[in-house]
Amino acid sequence: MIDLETPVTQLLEGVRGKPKLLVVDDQPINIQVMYQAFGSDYQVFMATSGAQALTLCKNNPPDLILLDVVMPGMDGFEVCTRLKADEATKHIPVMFVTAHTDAAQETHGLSVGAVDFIAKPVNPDVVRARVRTQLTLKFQSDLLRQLVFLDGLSGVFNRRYFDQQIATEWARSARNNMPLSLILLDVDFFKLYNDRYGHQAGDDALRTIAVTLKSCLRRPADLVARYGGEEFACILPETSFDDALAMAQELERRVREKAMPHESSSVAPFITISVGIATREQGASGDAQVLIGLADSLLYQAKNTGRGKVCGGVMAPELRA
Amino acid sequence: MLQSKEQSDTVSATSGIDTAGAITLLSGNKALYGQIAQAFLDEIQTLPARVAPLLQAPDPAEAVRALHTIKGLALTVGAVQLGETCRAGEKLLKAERLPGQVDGADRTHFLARLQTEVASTTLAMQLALKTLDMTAENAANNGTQPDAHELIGDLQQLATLLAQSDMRAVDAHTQLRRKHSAALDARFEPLNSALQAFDFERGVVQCETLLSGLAPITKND
Repeated sequence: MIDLETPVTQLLEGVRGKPKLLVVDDQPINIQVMYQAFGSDYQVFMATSGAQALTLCKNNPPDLILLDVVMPGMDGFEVCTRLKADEATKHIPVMFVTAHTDAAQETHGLSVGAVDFIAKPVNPDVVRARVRTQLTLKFQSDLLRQLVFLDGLSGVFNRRYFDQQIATEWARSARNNMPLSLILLDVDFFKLYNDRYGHQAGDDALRTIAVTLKSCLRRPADLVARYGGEEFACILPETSFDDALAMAQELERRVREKAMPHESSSVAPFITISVGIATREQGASGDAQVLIGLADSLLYQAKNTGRGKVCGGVMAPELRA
Repeated sequence: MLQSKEQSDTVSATSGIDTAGAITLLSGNKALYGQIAQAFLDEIQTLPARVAPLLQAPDPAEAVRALHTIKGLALTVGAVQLGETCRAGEKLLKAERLPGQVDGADRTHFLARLQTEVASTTLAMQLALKTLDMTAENAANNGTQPDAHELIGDLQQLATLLAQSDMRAVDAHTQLRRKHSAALDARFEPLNSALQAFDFERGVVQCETLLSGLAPITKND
């Protein structure tokens, strides 16, 4: 996933690693020509057939594909059609590079989803400029797609993304028979905080908490999302109850250590959080909603027994929440 | 021996070979041009023989594809006239696809034209290549003993790049050949052949074969 703090220009200039191009052509000569044009500024991969290209795109998606039309077996049009039909690859821009010069072929290529059509022999300056243009558009498009799933205030994922991912992770957990843990946490006496310090301060506090949560969850698969107004959720795939409990206690401690003054709280002079955790252990049945319900009930228990604490429970194989 | 620029331009112009234009499109990389031009020459030697039976078929689709491929390659290496001949052949065969328009005489005439053009292009390109200042790429063996550990490391790196279909494998292979020229014997020919064909999967296999053969050397070091 692109770091939203990286400007598109830096992505193009390879500050975060060179953009990846895939050149697909059955003729080594043509691949060499493209490598000559792009090798210094891009990471260039190659495929000599449509089937090989599709496999590469699944395993190591490039940022852009330069695709020949006429190839034995699967031609470029079919490759492009299949790429656009696959959720995992449909956002990769495809540029046809071909010796075809008739309008009908060009129209067909654009109609199957290509973004450009370049005639051979290629002029390296022209093709480089066109690739750069398409990559700019691609990176902007990637950023937009990610913004759909981000919470504007806190910068973590939003409820929409959480709902999508918890279902995905539940299915993965059941399929692979691995544990799945969920943390739900809520800021204690947040309404009173807003009343005393103002909504701007409340927003700042939520941002600080979000950053703190993100800094604790370092594994790529772990996810922080804003679940509600002052509520956050953390999805921890392949995490046992004991590990999730340790993480939840760490989160509670780190938020408390931020020492954000909260004179209207009866828990502590600083902002605290109440935390509920639930773990689906191997073999437990049910669905993601059951897991969420269990975590929610345990969060409620933490609230009712003093706040500023962690309560946890397990969905074991013989137990249904 | 280098010809003057005027002489080489005259050769190019009269033979339908635009060497200078092709090298410009390769950002001036004469060495790369030499490589791809030679590969192109190897490819077109069998072109008439490959196309002849395809022209006999009622559906000329395969012939169209073969000519289309060579047309693109020809334009890339500056073989303008051969490229035009292939384009004319494509056009002829596509026009024949309409019912009742199969004309065997036209196809026979085209094949003869293709054979003539391949022959003249071959001669012209061979001459054009001789006029280029092609510096030998073979690295001199500086007299030091080849380092088996380094060779193994370089082969492992090459195998990794090949497995990822990363084009840096081409550079790694070129560098390996330069660095270890003294150590490279007939055992490395299958690897060289795989890289020449851009068959990276076969290249990985060849790297692994070489590595398994080299490993005992390190044990005896």
